Amino acid sequence: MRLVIAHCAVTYEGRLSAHLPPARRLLMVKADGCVAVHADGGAYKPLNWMNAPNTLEEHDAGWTVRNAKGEVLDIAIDEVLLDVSEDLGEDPGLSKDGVEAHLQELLAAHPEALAPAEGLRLVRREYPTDIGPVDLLCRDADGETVAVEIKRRGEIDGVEQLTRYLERLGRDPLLAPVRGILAAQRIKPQARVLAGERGIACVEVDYDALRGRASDDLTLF
Amino acid sequence: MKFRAERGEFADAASWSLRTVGARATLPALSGVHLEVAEDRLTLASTDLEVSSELSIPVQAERDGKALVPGRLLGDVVRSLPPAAVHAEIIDDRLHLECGRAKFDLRTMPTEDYPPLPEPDPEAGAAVMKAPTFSSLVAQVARAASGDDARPVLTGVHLEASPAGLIAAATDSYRLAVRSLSWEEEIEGTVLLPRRALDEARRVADSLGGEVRLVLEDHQVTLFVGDRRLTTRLIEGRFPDFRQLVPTGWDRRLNVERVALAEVVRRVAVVGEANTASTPVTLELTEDAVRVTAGSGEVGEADETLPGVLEGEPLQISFNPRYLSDGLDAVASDEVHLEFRDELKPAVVRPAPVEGEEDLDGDFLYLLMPVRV
Repeated sequence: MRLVIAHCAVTYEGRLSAHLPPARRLLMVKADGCVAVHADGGAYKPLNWMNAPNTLEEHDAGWTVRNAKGEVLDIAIDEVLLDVSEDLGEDPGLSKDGVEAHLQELLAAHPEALAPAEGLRLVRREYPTDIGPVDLLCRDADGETVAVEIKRRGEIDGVEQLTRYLERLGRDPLLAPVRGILAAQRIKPQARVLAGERGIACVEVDYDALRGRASDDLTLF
Repeated sequence: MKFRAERGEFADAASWSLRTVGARATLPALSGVHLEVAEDRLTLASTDLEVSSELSIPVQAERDGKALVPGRLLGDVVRSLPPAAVHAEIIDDRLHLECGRAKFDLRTMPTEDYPPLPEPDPEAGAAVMKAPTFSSLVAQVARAASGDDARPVLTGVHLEASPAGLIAAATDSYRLAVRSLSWEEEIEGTVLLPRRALDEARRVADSLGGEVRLVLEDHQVTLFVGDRRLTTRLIEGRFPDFRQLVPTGWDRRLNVERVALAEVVRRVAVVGEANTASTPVTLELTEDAVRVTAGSGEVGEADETLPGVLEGEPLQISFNPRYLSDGLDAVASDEVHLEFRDELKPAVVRPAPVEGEEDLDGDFLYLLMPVRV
């Protein structure tokens, strides 16, 4: 990764023509050859850029970056204020954790964690309704049906969604009456109020504790 | 570079090279397949920085040279060509392909961007196995490796090679598969390699047959099958001391028909979600029968009994059905021994030895942890 802060003007010729008047900017040359011109603001898009593969030619007046499509990025440099290069090594890639899916899996294995006094037992995960599947369908110790919607963050949307499922499930004479539980790591106060009004219970679950519980499985070592 | 190749051979070679092309390459050059023509052979190479592959096919070369061609595009193009000879030539930065009346011009990438591929040291210790032996070893052991990247050590297959033989082991902490075979080879070393590399080599061994040559080095392992080569980086970390996990002796031993038990387990497990430990199958072992049950009051239950001979006291024990079927499938013999201590201690699946018959499984054992119910 090479970073250059320079007073420069940029001209791009290609699918369209664009010109950036002279100013101080950050020029980035990445290890794969991509070149980007950044202003001091905005996290997302460079002002101008050229993807790899391309060729970067440095000459007295500045840089000329060309690619095979005939696009040219001409950077006229008056003054270089900083020029550093650093090897960033191999990038491990972006990882997103599937907390919601994992929560569903954990709670399916331990539905009793949702309401210790009620003796919930799992009927099935992803119980289908004609407007989409309910995360968990359970029965309590008295045999009453309980629909559980699992979110990472409990917000009004989640309450609305569960309300629609409850209405659908309630039409099934084999399941009715059906009550609902909104389970999430954190539940917003607004969501609590709405849920309370609609008779839906809110349960905050401790993901880490559940994971600890999951590791209760017998293992070889 | 200019050559003429047979379409079938070229297509096979290109699609095999694609299997180790970098998928999420941070380096665009890794998405390419490197072609090199020299001495009437075309060598195709690719790498995703973990596993790299190389193979060569005979061609009629008019001009030697190299090129780096976008892998997926090359694969798609070559696969779609009509059955005729393929003429290929690099003109400037383009690969020009002609086959019958079809013509393609593919943009190439600069070859100087391509990283040098790791090559095994010709002096390094090596061993040779028959392809079917290698395949069965990989098939038996690799299935026990974990798919969870959170513990990289458990995603690999552990190999211990010595002049007397090879021991392969894999475990995901719920089960452990160990297979050993004997040989007389000049080789010594212990490595942990990605399961994927072995699976790829096994795929080639299955299709090409012949022999597999294994080369062990401190930092990489190379597998040669025919004119194909796979070199893989090793997984760092310490593989669990699997020997101390294997129980010595048993309190109860079941002798049962392998395929029959596997079928029953699969059938019965249908009532649960076969993939989770939360819906186990339960085995009730009595003197001359095994009763297999699964399910819950809400979804439904399943129950089937098959004959089996038990030595020792009756036992009721539950397993994750997938892990149990995996173990039964890994064995080739008609009958298996299942050895138990009690319902909470690991069980061992072994092929039941048959006198006078060739031993297909070598010294194989599959250890699996029961599920608490």
